Amino acid sequence: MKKAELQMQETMLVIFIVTIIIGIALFTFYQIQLKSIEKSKVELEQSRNLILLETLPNSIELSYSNLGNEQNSIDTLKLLNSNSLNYGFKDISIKQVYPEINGEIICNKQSYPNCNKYVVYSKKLSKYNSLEVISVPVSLYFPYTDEYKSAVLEVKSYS
Amino acid sequence: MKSQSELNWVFILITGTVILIFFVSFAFKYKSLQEEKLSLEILNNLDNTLTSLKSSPYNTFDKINLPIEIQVTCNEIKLNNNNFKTNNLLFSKETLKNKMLIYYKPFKAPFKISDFYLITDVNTRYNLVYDESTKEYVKELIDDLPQDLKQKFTLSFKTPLLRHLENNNFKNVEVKELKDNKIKINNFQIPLNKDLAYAAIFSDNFECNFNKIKQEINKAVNVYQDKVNVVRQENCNYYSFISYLDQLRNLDFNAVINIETLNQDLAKKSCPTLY
Repeated sequence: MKKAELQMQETMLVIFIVTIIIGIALFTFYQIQLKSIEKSKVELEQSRNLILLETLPNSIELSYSNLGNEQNSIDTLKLLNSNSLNYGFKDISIKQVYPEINGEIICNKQSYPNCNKYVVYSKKLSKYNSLEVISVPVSLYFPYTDEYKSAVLEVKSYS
Repeated sequence: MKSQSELNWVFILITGTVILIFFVSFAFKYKSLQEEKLSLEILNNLDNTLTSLKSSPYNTFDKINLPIEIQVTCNEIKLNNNNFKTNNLLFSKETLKNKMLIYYKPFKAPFKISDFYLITDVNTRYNLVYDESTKEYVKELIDDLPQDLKQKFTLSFKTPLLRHLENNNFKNVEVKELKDNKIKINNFQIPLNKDLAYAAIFSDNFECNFNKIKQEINKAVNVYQDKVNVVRQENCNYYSFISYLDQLRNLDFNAVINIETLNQDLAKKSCPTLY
């Protein structure tokens, strides 16, 4: 009887240890999966930001066209209005880089055209884990003087 | 002693079965999770590919091989029962398989309003059924399509072809009653505009898409009305645009020619143009 009890206890101990090992394995697997999903999420967000950067200059809210023909530049007069864009938690701005203007002057109906920074969209997160900043050179068109100037379109993405 | 040994075997059998069931169910759940992840990745990549076409100011035609059947609705692309919400205006048949044909064209009236994606697959054929009023118009519509899409169309006067064979791969599209700058496509009346006509021909659910188009027109009109309110230049009149823009907002496409004329007048006077 004692031997049988001992055998039973051994079996239960083995099952207990196997269960613990399976538990640890599952926990590790779960952690790896979680990291993989996090990585996918970051990659997805990065690709979305790149596409946004690529397509935004041609959107109707920003693009300049001459008699209906797209000119691959941004109409500065359109930037002076508030727009209905919604891109989540992002900061999107355009900064004129050439000709250079000293300091940072935000463009609005009063300061235009003697300014150098246009805020296209701004919705910040007060607390965030990561901030991704990407930018692309763009051309700014000034309708009153019929001039083109160089600028940088910058997208800051909070997560 | 013998009964104890039997009890041990029963115990091991039950425990083994429980562990086996656990692992098998885990394997199945993991498989379905991976499939779901893969589907969403494919749909996301597809949507990104479509969105990238927006960076082109020109009409663009492209083909994409589809390893698996996908469904396109007004707001979503579906694969294996997984939905992916899209903001792109996709005018497509509901089920696409084998090879997807995409014709991207900016929708202009007269300025750019939105981006249209006319989508079909390699198997589908269309028969445009016209009447006296639309005879020339449907010919023009087909002539303006890329060669690969042109081949998909046949024409018939008043009578739908092979009605009994109409299915997912063969569609009769009725284009009729062109009058007062309006046209009926599959009994849905739309303003006379080629881009809208294409959208109605290619779309299986045009009613829903048309509501999205109306929103896009509204958005574009707001952008240009805002610009009218900002632009100031001596001897240049921008306020005449306002009433025509309102007309356009109400889907009166007669305003298009007036907006075009006003814009050209501004260019002649060396004023900054509206668009």
